[in-house]
Amino acid sequence: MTENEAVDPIRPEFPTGRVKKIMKLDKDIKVNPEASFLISCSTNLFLQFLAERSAEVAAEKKKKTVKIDHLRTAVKRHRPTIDFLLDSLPVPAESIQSVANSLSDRDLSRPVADKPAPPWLELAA
Amino acid sequence: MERDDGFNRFYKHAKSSSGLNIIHGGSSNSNNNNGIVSTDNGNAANSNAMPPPCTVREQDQYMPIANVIRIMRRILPTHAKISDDAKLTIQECVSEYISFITGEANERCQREQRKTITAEDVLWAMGKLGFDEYVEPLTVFLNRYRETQNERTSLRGEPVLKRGMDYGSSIMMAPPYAPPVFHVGHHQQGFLDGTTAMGGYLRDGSGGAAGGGSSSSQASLTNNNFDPFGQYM
Repeated sequence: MTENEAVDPIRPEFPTGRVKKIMKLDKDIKVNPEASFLISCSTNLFLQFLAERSAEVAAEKKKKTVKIDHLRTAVKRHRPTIDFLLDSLPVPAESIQSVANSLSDRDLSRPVADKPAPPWLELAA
Repeated sequence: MERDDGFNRFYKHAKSSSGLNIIHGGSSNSNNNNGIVSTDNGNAANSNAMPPPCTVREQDQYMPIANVIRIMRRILPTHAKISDDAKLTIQECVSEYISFITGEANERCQREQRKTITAEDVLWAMGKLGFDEYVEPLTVFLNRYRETQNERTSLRGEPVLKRGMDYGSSIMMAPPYAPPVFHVGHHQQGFLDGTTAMGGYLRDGSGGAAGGGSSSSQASLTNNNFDPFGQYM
């Protein structure tokens, strides 16, 4: 969002055409300009949220580089985000090492799970 | 296609709700069909697998990585870095989010037998899916957007009021979407700074002024010494 909001219109951070393309990816929908504008704004908010939360996790672990594990932990701390995002994240290889010994190698070697990991497994990370 | 449950969840939604059988590819959906193939492999990019040659390009299913990184860098501490795979993953998360909200908004649209997703559908979907803390700032943005649109048309000499009221009444008068107090939830520090001015405007400027588009308030908005707090206090 622009800094000088007093007179300038809001310029969404994301290209409008791309927003619409992604919206239409899995369904043949029509969307009016206001709606795609709001999606663009809310996506910006969501991205900032993810960035902020992931950075917090990285800081907690005293790391300077934000990694997927930090992102994953951040996602897990926010219920609405878990609902749609957790299954899509790559399965962490190292963080479940200690409890995953009984699992098949398939779960550890394939970075994206075929199916959601069991609930107890997700909580372990 | 059980590999990518995240996206498939929404594709299944699409199949049942819109009637378009995207997995098998209708005639108008050949791109989307590739989109599904590519999406799986888009995620596979994180797993070091190579996407098949006939995929949808990144620019068709993700936000530009440069935009994503730029927004993240503004939030992260100066010294912080982001791993490459985290960047890619977050890029995918962004698209997932868009699909998620869009799917819900689209369902509502279809339930009410409308064809076009509106701003109200989007706001409703936010609330329903647990992102209600976004609803207030989004309403502010929307009002600002409408102001901008109205200013543009009024400069061209076209009627303003009708356009402003078409979508305005249902959004700005409805308490669930536009509560009078501008209060943002837990992650306000990330973006609130940029919206304070608009938030003040919303709180002090009534919905009528924003949507009705009276010429005097518009003129004052375009004034260079526009002061959201001074104007209406």
